[in-house]
Parts: sequence; C-alpha cells; structure tokens
Amino acid sequence: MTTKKKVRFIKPRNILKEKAGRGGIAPELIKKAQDWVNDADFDYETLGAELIKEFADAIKTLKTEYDEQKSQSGKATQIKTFLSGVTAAIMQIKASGGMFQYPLLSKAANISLVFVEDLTAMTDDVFDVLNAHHRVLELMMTQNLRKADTPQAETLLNELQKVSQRYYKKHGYHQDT
Amino acid sequence: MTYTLDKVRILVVDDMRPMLTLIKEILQILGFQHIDTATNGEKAYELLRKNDHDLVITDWQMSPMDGLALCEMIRRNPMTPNPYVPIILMTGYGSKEKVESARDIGTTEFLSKPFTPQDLFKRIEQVIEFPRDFVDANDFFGPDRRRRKNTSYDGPNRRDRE
Repeated sequence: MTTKKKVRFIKPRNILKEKAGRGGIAPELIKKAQDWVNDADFDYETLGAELIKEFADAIKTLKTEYDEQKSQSGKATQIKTFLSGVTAAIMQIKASGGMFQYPLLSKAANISLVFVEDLTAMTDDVFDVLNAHHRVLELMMTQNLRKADTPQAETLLNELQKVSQRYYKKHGYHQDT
Repeated sequence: MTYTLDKVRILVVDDMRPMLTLIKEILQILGFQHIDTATNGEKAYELLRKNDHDLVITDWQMSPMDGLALCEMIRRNPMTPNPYVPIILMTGYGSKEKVESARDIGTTEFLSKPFTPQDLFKRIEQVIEFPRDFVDANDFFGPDRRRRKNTSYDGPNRRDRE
C-alpha cells in the first residue's frame, strides 16, 4: 500500500526581487530595445526559407503516414500526435517571423496553426489546405512580403482564412476521431 | 528608482541561434549583465547547476531536451541548486491545452512568440512582483496553478451561507 504524501504549500524566498529591487524598468530602455529590434539587420531569409522547407517536408511525411494508415485500418488515429510534425513546423514559422521583421509571415502561419490545432480528424482535403497555406508562406518569403498592414497583406491573409473556412464548412468544425 | 538588474543571473535557452542573440541583446539593453545562453535543455541544465541562475527563460521545442523536460528536471532533480527558480516558457503554440500542459509541468509564466521587448519585460516584472507559492504534492511540484485571488470582489460569499 502506498501512502499519499501530504500537500505542502511553500513560499519560496524571492531572490529575484531581493536583487532587482523596486521601480520597474525605465520606459526609454524598453523603447531603446524596441528601436534596436526594428533597426537590426537580421538575416532571416536563410532561416525563414529553411523553416518553410521544413513545413513542406512535414506535409510530405504526414501524407505518407496518412496513406499508410488509411491502407491499414481505413481510419487515422490519435490526431494530435499524428499532426505534431506539421504543427511544430508551422509553429516555428509563426514564432520566428514576427521576431525578425516578418510580421506578415507570423500572422499567416498563425492562421495555419489554428487550422491544424482545430482539426479533430484527418481527411484527404487537409492536404489541399496545408499545401495552399505552404504556397502562400513561401510566396511571402520569396517576394519579401513583410508588413502585415498593407492591402496586399490583408488580401493574402483573408484568402488563407477562406481556405480554412471552406474546409470547415465542408467537413464540419467538430469531427469525431 | 528603477530595477537593478545587473546582479540578476539569467539563463536563456533557445535552439535557434539568431533568436538567442536577439533575446540576449534585448535583455542587455534592459540592464541584465549576467546572461548565460544555451541551445538545448541538457546544456542549459549543466549551466544552471554551475551558475545557479535567478531566472530561466526557455523555448519549448528543442532537441535533444526540450523546454518542458528542462522545466521538469529543474523542479524535480535533487541536483538543482534552486528548484523554485522562476521559469518563463517561450513558444509559438497558443492553444489552451498546450498552455495547460506547460503549466502542469511547473513553468511559472508563458510568453507567446513572437513577442516585443515590452511583452518580455512584462513577464519578467510579473515574476519579480507577483511570485507564486509552490505546491509540493504527489504528482506535482511547481508554482501554484491557481491564479491569484480576485480581491476586487466584495459581495457575499455563497459558502458562508451554507
């Protein structure tokens, strides 16, 4: 028989506070940091292109696994694990784009991320959506489309949203696994 | 008066080197001087054992040891110098279940990528000014997962009437 440990609440010493003291950070320092981020000369082209290629590779891997599963059991299982490679690849694009002066890329990747996170079952059409999203992300990188607040950016983001919406309109929002 | 951050030892972990450089630069501008960096959880834990940091800022997705495994190791390994060290987990994931799994492993705060210097500072300020109590239970050791009480409510308490 195992004995259940009693739950303890502990108030640890706040070493950070002891060292940092009081008063916050001067707003001009935060502005200085933001100005540095805005003006820094990052080489994101190579990294961004690599991440978009990883996304394409993840889609291919997923397709292979999906086809194998379909031929074996007729139905895909454990959707979140199944999609983890694609989800991780998109997440990396979303996470990094906006940090390196490609906010449009982050916004677009976020639309793709929401799409895969909302999936509760696999269908053949998932690949059409993922490939469409990939093409748009690749276009943004190759055409150096960075800003998210231009009419062209808005059109691209709307189109991505529509691709996802069409999918969910056809297949329903909540599907059984 | 403002924070004196030059004595704070901070550890930043991210497998994307440009990201590591970017975050380090931001932290330096904000006033941190003792900044160690690592590209995965294993290297980070080695540094933590050596330098006993006051704050850890780590990415989630890394290899061979990711941010969640690092967090678990910091909280549970008896070799950890300070298992209560605040841990800010950075990630592009934003779904509720991802946030909950990070919280359940013992992270202190969650920082969604991409973020601005202001966002980063807000999380740091949060761990400085509003430290959370720790819970040591059978299956969990980490910051109390319940958020702070709402002190603005001054109406009757239902349980008092029962």
